Order: sequence, then C-alpha cells, then structure tokens
Amino acid sequence: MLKGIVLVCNNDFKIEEFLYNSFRNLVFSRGDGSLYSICDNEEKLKLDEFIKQIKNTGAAFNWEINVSFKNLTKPLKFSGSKLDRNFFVFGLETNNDVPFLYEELMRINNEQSNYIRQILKNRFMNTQMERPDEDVLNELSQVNNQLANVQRELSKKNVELNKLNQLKNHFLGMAAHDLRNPLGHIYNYAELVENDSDNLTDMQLQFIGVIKSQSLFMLNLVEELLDVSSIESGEVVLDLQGVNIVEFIRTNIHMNKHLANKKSIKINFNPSGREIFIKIDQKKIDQVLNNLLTNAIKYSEQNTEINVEVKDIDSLVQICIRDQGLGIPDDEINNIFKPFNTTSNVSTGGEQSTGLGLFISKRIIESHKGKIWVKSEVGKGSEFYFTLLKDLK
Amino acid sequence: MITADNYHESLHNIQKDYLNALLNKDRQSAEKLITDSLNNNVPIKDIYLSVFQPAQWEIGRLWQTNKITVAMEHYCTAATQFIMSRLYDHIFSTEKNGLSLVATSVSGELHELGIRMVSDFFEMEGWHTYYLGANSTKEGILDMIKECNADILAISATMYYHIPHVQELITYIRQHNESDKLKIMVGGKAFNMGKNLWKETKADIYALDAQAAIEKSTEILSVNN
Ligand code: B12
Repeated sequence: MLKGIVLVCNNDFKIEEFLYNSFRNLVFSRGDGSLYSICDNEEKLKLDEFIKQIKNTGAAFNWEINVSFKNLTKPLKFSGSKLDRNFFVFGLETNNDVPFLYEELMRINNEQSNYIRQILKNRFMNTQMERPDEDVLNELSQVNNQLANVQRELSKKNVELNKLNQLKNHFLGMAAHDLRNPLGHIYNYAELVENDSDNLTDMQLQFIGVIKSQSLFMLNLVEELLDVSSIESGEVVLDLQGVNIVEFIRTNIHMNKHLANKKSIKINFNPSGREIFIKIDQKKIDQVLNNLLTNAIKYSEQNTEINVEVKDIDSLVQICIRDQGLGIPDDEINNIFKPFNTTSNVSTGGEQSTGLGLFISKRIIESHKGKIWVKSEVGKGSEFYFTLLKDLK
Repeated sequence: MITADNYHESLHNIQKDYLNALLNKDRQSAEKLITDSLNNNVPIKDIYLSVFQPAQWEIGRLWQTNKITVAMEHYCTAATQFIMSRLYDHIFSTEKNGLSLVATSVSGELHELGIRMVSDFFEMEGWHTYYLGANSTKEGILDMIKECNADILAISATMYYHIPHVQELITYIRQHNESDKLKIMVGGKAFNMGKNLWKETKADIYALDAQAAIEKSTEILSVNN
C-alpha cells in the first residue's frame, strides 16, 4: 500500500483537495489550511524554495520535508507540479512509491497527467542519472569519516604515549638519582681500603681494583641516565658563553692524553688559525668532545693516531675527530646515535661502554642547533663530524 | 579583541567569518580564525557549539535551499572535520576522571560530526572516550563496552529512519551485556525532532546537544551512586 499524501493546492498553496492520505492520525478537512500548516515549522524555508521551484520550472522532485502529525514529525519525500491553475503535490515515505504513484495519477486524470508525467519523468530520469554521483559522494563521506576517526584515535594514542614517556623519564631520573649516592659511597670506601694497602694481600688489592672500576662504570652510567632523562623531558637549558673553540679543543685533548698514552695512541691537532670565537655551553660541548675522543681511543689499536680538525665555514665551525680504529660495520652505522646501541665492535683495551654517549652527544649538538654525523670504513677507521653555530642566540 | 562584554557578539562574528571563509574555499583562513580564537582563550567547547555547530547548520540550510551545491557542502564539512582534528592535542590532554564512554553512530548513518563532538566534550570533561564509527558491528560495540568497562554508551542518529536501528542496537546490548552499571544515551537530529521520540528506543537518557549530554550523564551517574 502506498504510504503518503496526495494533495491538490491552489495558486497560494492552500490545500484544495486531499486525493489520498494513508496516515490516519493526520486529520484534515478540505480548504482548511495551506501546505505550510501541515509541515514542520523549521521547514518553512525549504517549503518556500520547493514552491518557488514548482512555480518557476513547472515541477520539483523529491524534496525531503518534515510533516508534523499530532505528536510526531515525519520526513516525507515531496514532489509537485503545475496543473493548469492548480498544483499537484505528493509527499511519500519512500522514493520507491513514486513510479507507482505516477501510474495511479495517470488513472485519475489521463490528460493532465500526461503533462505531469512528462515533466516529472524527465526530472526523475535526471535524478536517476545523478545517482552514481550521489553514491560516490556518500562513499567519499564514509572514507572521510573513517579518516577523521583514525585521526582522532591517533591523537589520543599520541597524547597517551607522550604521557608514558614522561613517566618513564621521571622514573629513570628518580632511579638514577637514588643510585648515585650509594655508588659514590662504594667507590669512596673502596678507595679508603685501597689506601691501607699494607694490610692487604695482592689478591685483595686486585678485587678492590675491580670494585672501583665497576662502581665507576656504574656511576658513569647513572650520570648518563640522568642526562638522558633530563634531555628527554626537554629540560636541556643551555648556559651559553663565548669561548675560543680552538683553545677549548686543545684543553680537552690535553685532558684525554693520559688515556691515549696508555695505548701509545698519538692525538694530532694542528689548527690553521689560532682562534675562532663561538658561543656554546662549555660543560656540554666538553662532554661531547670527551665522548668522541674516548670512543676513538677505545676502538683504536695501540700505536695508531687520532687527528682532530677544526674548520671555519661561514657561520659554522666544523669539528672532525678521525681515528684509525676498527671502523663501524655498514649495517650498524644508522643505529649508533640511538640509545643503548653499542656496535658489535669490542673495545681494544677492554674498556666498557654504556651505549648512551653518542645519543647524548647528538642531543647536545642538536640543542646547539648543530649537526653530528659519521663516516666510517671497517678496518680503516671512523670520522665523527659535528658543527656548531658561531653566533647561537 | 575578545572581552567579557562583547563575548557573544565576537563568537557570532567568528562563526560568520568562519563560514564565509569556507564558502570562499579558503580553508587556511578558516583554520586561522579558530587558532586565533584559541589563542584569545576562547574555550574549545564554545568553538564547537558556537562556531562549528551553527556553521554546519547554516551550511545545511544553504544546501537544502539550493543556494550551494552538494559538493560545496561536502567541502565545508570535510574542512570542519579537519580543523576539528587540529584541536585534538588540546582535547586529549585533560586529566582523566576514570569514567568511560563508548560512542557510536548507528550503522548506515553518515552524519558523524555531531557525535564526535559529543565524544570530545566527554574527553574534555576527563572521560576516557572510545568513538566507534558507523561501520562497527553490534558485536564490536559490545566487545568495546566490556573491554573498557563503559559507564555510558552513546548512540547517535541523524536520519529519522535510523531510529529503529537504534532500537535494535539497544535491545541487543541490553540482552548481551552483563554489567548493570551501563547507561545508554541517545541523541542526534533524529531525536531532536520530537520530544518523546527517544523513549521509543528504551534508552536511559537523551540530550539535545553535547553540553546537555554531559549534564544529563553526570546527573544519572550521581543518582546511581
Ligand atoms: C554535514 C551534513 C551531511 C554530511 C555528513 C558528514 C559527516 N561527516 O558528518 C553528508 C554529506 C554525509 C550528509 C549526508 C546526508 N544528509 Co546531511 N546534513 C549535513 C548537515 C549540513 C550538517 C550536519 C552537522 O554536521 N551538524 C553539526 C552537528 C554538530 O550537529 P548535530 O549533528 O545535530 O549534533 C549535535 C546534536 O544533535 C547532539 N548529538 C548528536 N549525536 C548525539 C548523540 C548523543 C548520544 C547525544 C546525547 C547527543 C547527540 O550533539 C551534537 C553536538 O551538539 C545537516 C544540516 C543540519 N541542520 O544538521 C544535514 C542533514 C542532517 N542531512 C540531511 C539529509 C537529508 C542527508 C542525506 C539523506 C542527503 C542525501 N540525499 O544523500 C544524506 C544521508 C546520508 C546518511 N545515510 O546518513 C537532512 C536530514 C533531514 C531529516 N529530515 O532528517 C539535514 C538536516 C539537511 C536538511 N535539512 O535537509 N549530510
């Protein structure tokens, strides 16, 4: 059975006749109101446009307009057309009934209906043709919705991840901080015992040596973990001061000489100029230089050389530390600046490595707006480069 | 400059400018208007309810009166969804209160912007929210409710003819969900048409918009405790 209403309206869209009404609770008497009176108040504008379209073009097809029943609002698909001085309007629950209705209308009034049929059918055909487009658009909306949902999920996860990371850094910092003092004690007490060497056997002295070197290593690790946690939580605050970087490097090399001497490694530094003034956080760049130099020493055989260079390039200073050591295998070179990524290389003198030094160095250089990178060939050695801005603000 | 005195007027102007920018296909300016308002300390909730929502409604009006094409309508909606997603960082950083909401649109429903807005409001109130798109199955929704021990399930319908689907979904959830704390809330344009339409679905609560949804939920949860 057809669900909907069919009306004849006059020129002012007053309802002249109810040809058909399938809704029992929509009570209506003829000539009693206009089309507006049965439609939802909110839909006035739409109805205006609908009527305008019928008046201007002869017909309107498939406009969804809400009709108000006693206490219920229902959207109906409205179509309408001009019919001499009157207007034919029908509102149906589904589109599917439209073809059926045409047939009905035809039976009601053949001649006039031919006219309606012609106009409406044209319109119907046109809308049918537009259907594929509508499908594409709906499909597009669905894709778009899904994208928006994924985006929402991602942002949510991202925030959660950031929080977890913060928490991790917090714990890391706390744990490292709490370990630092006891480790310091162990080291200091070991040293006290060692000073009393008269009462100790050689074996005991050797053990104390191990306690000292292990606790020193752990202290180092703890210091570096503290660095990592403060770097990761974005707390790197630079204390920038002007220094002559040439002299600065020379001092650092000097401090590392005794380590190099132990392995009879020679460190060369022959800068072309005497001074280049730049702004850096001295403590932090010292840490980077230390890290790169001790690495070079760690992974070099006895009786080799390490060359340190400093170059003045426009607004930058580029520093290079070149060793004749083991070199880094190709498949490991991309990971060396990541935390806890030690290479398969074993240090030549049994020195230990925390796997954090290069990661920290990279973050320090980046916080100075510089770059750090490496070139290396297995068996020939490695070259570590980094740049610093001369006039960092 | 937005002040307490001209606040409402300012919001109204932002909404007008926002819509004009979109109608001029100028997504960047529209986005800038929103970021500028945020920087002027306009709360996100006000941006949602006093800029995005009325702009979308106006777009709907322009579309139904054939003043803009369906393509333009799609463009504006897509742009608004995108600009909304740029605010997520602010939304998701709220401290959590332990309550959780699962939200979904009834299947076949393409109008998702409103319910996503509702979900974001809950998120801003400190809820954990899980928005499942209209493509999720009733089994999927049930699993999600169990997994996150949801306090509220929110179901949205815009098209009137989707109301029976809402009803089916609610019946299914009621039959299969063992936890008795779950409250079911419905909303969306379909339910806004008639005062009592929502009652047909046997839901526990209904709310007119995102802000009312928060108020109604808080109310029902505090009654239950
Ligand atoms: C954008 C839009 C679309 C987009 C939707 C894209 C998207 N990602 O959401 C697309 C292009 C897909 C679309 C498609 C269609 N649309 Co449309 N669309 C609109 C439009 C212009 C805006 C909707 C919107 O974003 N509103 C903004 C949000 C914020 O408002 P809201 O949805 O009402 O949500 C608020 C409240 O309702 C409430 N709420 C919502 N959900 C829930 C849930 C709960 C639990 C609670 C408590 C509260 C709540 O809180 C929200 C925030 O405050 C409206 C116009 C209008 N006036 O709404 C038409 C409109 C909804 N569409 C309409 C129509 C007819 C259609 C189509 C049938 C058109 C067609 N021929 O294809 C299809 C239907 C597709 C389908 N199967 O669903 C009609 C519906 C008429 C009716 N009688 O129901 C409208 C009203 C336009 C009109 N007047 O003609 N549409």
